[in-house]
Amino acid sequence: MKNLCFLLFLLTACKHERKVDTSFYYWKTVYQGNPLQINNLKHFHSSKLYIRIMDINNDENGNPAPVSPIVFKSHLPDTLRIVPVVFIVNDILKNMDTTQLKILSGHIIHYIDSKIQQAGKKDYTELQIDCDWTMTTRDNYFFLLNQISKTTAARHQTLSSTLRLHQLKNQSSSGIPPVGRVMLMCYNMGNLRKYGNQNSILELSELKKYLGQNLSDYPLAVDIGLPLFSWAVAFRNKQYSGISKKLNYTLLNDENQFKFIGKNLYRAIIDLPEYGLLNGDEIRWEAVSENDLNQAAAYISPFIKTDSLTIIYFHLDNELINTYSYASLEKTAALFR
Amino acid sequence: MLHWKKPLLYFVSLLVVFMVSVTIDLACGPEPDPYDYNVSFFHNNIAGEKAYSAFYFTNSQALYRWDEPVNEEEINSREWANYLGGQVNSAEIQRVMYHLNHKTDSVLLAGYLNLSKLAPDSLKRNTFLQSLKKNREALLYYRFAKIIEPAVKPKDAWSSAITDTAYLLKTAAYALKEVSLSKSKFIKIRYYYQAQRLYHYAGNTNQAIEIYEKHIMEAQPGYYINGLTRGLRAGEEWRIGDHAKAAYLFSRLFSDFPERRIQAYQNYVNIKAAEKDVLAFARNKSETAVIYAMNGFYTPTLSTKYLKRVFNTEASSPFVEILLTREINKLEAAYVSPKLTDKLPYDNLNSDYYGYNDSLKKTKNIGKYIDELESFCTQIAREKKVKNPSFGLIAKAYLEWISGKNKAGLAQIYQINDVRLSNKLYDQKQIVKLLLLSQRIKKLDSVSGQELVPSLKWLDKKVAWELKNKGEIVRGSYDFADDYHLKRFTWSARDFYQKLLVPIYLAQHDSTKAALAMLKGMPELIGDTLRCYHENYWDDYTTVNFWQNYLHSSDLNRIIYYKRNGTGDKYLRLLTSGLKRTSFDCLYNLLGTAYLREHNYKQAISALSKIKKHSLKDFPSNGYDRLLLKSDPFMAQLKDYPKKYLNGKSKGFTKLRFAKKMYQLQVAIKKDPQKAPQYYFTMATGLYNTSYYGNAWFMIAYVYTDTETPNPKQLYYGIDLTQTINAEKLFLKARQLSKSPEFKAKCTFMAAKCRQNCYKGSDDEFVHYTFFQKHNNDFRNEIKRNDYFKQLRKSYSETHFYRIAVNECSYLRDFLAVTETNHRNNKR
Repeated sequence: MKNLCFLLFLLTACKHERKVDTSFYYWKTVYQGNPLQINNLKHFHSSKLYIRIMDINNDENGNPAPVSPIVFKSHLPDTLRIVPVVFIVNDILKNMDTTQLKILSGHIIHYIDSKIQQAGKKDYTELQIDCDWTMTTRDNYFFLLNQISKTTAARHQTLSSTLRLHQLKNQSSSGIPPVGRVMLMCYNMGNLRKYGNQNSILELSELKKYLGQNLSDYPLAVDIGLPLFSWAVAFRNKQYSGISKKLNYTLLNDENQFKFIGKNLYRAIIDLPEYGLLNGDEIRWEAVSENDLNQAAAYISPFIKTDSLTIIYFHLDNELINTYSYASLEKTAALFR
Repeated sequence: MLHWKKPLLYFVSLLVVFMVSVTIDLACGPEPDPYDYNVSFFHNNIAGEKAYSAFYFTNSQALYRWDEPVNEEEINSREWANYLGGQVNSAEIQRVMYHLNHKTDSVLLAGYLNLSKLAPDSLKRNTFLQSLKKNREALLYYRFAKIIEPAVKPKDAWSSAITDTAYLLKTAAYALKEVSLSKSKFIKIRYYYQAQRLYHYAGNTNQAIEIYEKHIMEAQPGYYINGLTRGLRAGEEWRIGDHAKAAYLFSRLFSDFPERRIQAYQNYVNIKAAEKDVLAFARNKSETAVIYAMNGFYTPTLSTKYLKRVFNTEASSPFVEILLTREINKLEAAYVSPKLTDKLPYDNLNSDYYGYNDSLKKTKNIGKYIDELESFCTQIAREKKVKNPSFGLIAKAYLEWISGKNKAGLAQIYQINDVRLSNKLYDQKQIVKLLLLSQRIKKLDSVSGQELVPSLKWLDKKVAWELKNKGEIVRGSYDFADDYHLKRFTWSARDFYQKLLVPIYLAQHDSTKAALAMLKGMPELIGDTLRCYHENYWDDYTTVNFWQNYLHSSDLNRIIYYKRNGTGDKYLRLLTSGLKRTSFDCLYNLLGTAYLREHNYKQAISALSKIKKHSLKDFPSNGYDRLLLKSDPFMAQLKDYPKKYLNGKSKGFTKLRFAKKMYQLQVAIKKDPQKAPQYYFTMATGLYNTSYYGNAWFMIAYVYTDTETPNPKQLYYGIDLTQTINAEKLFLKARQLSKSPEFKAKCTFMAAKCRQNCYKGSDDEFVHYTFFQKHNNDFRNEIKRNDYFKQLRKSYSETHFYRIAVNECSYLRDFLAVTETNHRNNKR
């Protein structure tokens, strides 16, 4: 009897562990594999890389066309699968009819097939479409996805779509995209343009406004996108004036140029034309700490109902990756298991 | 309620089959014309000519037009003709270089240019090809250029093929090798150009720069190659990261090479270099003025910033007038157009239907801006530093018209009465003068109108000339696009007559003259169109709609009088001249229809009998398979849908036959009072069927619509067309005079049908039910209160007709169901 009780205890105590893969987005316009990046991917046992193939926006004649397509200067390693990602500018969907959408879907598939070969791959198992669709473009976007899925389904490929927080929260107006799975973008959640010391990239309190039951009830398999980036948001007279791309955290801490004024805010103390700043401009440094990532992971994990998911970090960049320790990112992944 | 759906489904099917084109046309509206979407009396082409026409103000597209002001094919062909000398014709060069089809081009390359075959028959006499045979190095160069063409021409946007860099580098090296073997400078410099270009596209930017700087820059390469290589050089500067210098080089390309102007402008804009950095490169005032002008062309809001900067930098720059015209055109979009079109007392489609100007319309402090522009105009006229100081005065006069300062405006115009002006400035002066003269008229009549006659006659001539020459042609922006015909005077004349004169006449309660002005404003309208049932008539919509819907018989009788007798009054003669394009048949059709609407059947017979020539246009077509819609308007129906039309071979009722029958009924009522109830019922049925709910709507209407039911208050015959009020009265009259309960029941039911068409939400009911699968709430509530249904239930529930009606009409059943429920609830 004792033994039986112990066995029962073991059975009940044994929690089935979720399979969690770690991957990255590659969002640059030129792919040139380098040992450091490949090493990073190996370390996380990443078997696939989400590579932005192109943006699609209207050209000068108002026709959808690829913008900044990726150029593969080297092949992807054999050990790494490619997940092509296509970003579609939402506005272009507004006035398209079904014929145009069918043509566009054909273009997308054809273009990706060709790019995949340039990446040294014969095929792919997942295609991801990224679009900040809204209620007015929903029907056209879903029609496009259905068209694309006719091809992907025949090839036994998974079609996935990105899912923004507002689309998760407003499911009745945003609808559920006709895809195999979605990637929930857990970043860019605050108002970037609003003056203040908030973090628009990732803030747990903001995340909580969108997720919870909305996530656990979502009828599709969900992957999670987490941010690995930072930026300097500039304000002039408390009005948003842009992101200063040349600034980084080290430069902000140069006391000859900036004064720290609390939490994540700095003030330029001289004119800095190389950064597009004037004396008195304020800069909000927004970054995501390892702790932020872990807190987010701990919060999100219980709402995921599927047995497997992929954590996809945005984005693969040597400098950014170096900011985070392997151990920490491993811990974040572990929190989802 | 189930039975409600059935008739609606029938109706939907019927519409899909019979009314598809009408419905789609009405629902979709016109295709926007990017060149005619707002009122413009200040013509954008009075400054700058074609050289800068791409940069005229427009809110409908990124550039006003997309063709470069000068054709580079012609330049290149001319240079080749000069080089080859003798009898070589540049047009023949152009044909071979740029306009052979792919097959011929390939055959030529593989054969004749390879010295292996004769030229194809169609090109045997081509002087260019003949001369190449005699000039080996020219032939070799041309062949080389043709061979590398696929590698350097722009790719299809959706082609993901990668650039074959190795090939580009190999051919660049070949080009350099050929330089040394060539004797002629003309060919040498072209090989250098090809080398620069091939390195450029291969991404070897520094090598491309080196070629340019070592071998081309100082070599006086000739105009065409100079433009090409400087364009590449500017792009190379962009690539190596000196954005300001690249922008500056593109600004030079913009000013020096009109065949690359648009290309240079687009690159300049896309570089987004800081203005001060670009200006630092400018070597003189002209170059600075060009940079300011380019920034001005990229400014979509009302702003004198760059206009003033250009003026202060180089007052004689042509950009002063171009930028000033742009600002005035913006003002027209932001202020003049909405002021003239937003509150027109008639349906108008010749305005900013697609809202291109929405953002400009939100501009605040427009009055202050007009003052600022006026001051600027005064300054340029006074200082006389600009090319045409009179331009300032004319522009100022126009601005004064906009702000209602007629006296001051005319004073400006009279100041330049003796000044010799360019044709375009003279024309603009005439338009402004006409506007000012008409605006100062307090009451527009034959006396005050005389003052406008000289200007209107002048305008007539301009319009006639423009129509004869089909306006300025702008090629469509893609292969199969239609060309646009820019008819600035025709559009201005239309807007003058329709948006300035018509409202004045309507305010003076003179709809006859308003109609004449409407017609005068559409010189291209074929007069017969005025009496047509329309399916697609957007260009003429405003005029046709006015003529078909707003005119009473009294107006049409006056119009017919003018057409028949003419007038000695010069102004009125001008105003009525549009009538030349109409026929008496057309006018009598309109008059007869007006009488039908006014229930004056005797006069309707008289008018309609005067029509001499009848045609298929007497009936509307179903728009799908072109079958004509004919019907018996005196067929009483319990259900409106599906509408009972007769098939194409049946005669059906014409307007004249309808008028005769209605008149006979009117007479018969008096002659035979015993049968008056039946006669009233038949008349009521006839009247009901001429509404949108009946099968003979085309007796009084010229267009059918279910989605855009006109507001009955806007149409003087709306009480018949949409509200069926007179039909209701006649059904009641028939009931009142009858003693038969069966007949009375029928009259009551028909009156109930009429009453429903006045209910709140009746205009929206069809659309609501079709798209939302439920009744409009207002309409549903009203059904419950239908007095005639109450009377039917109370007084005629024992009749045979009542049982039929309950069976047929779901409205009645709805009513009964609700009253039954209420009754039960009250009992409880």
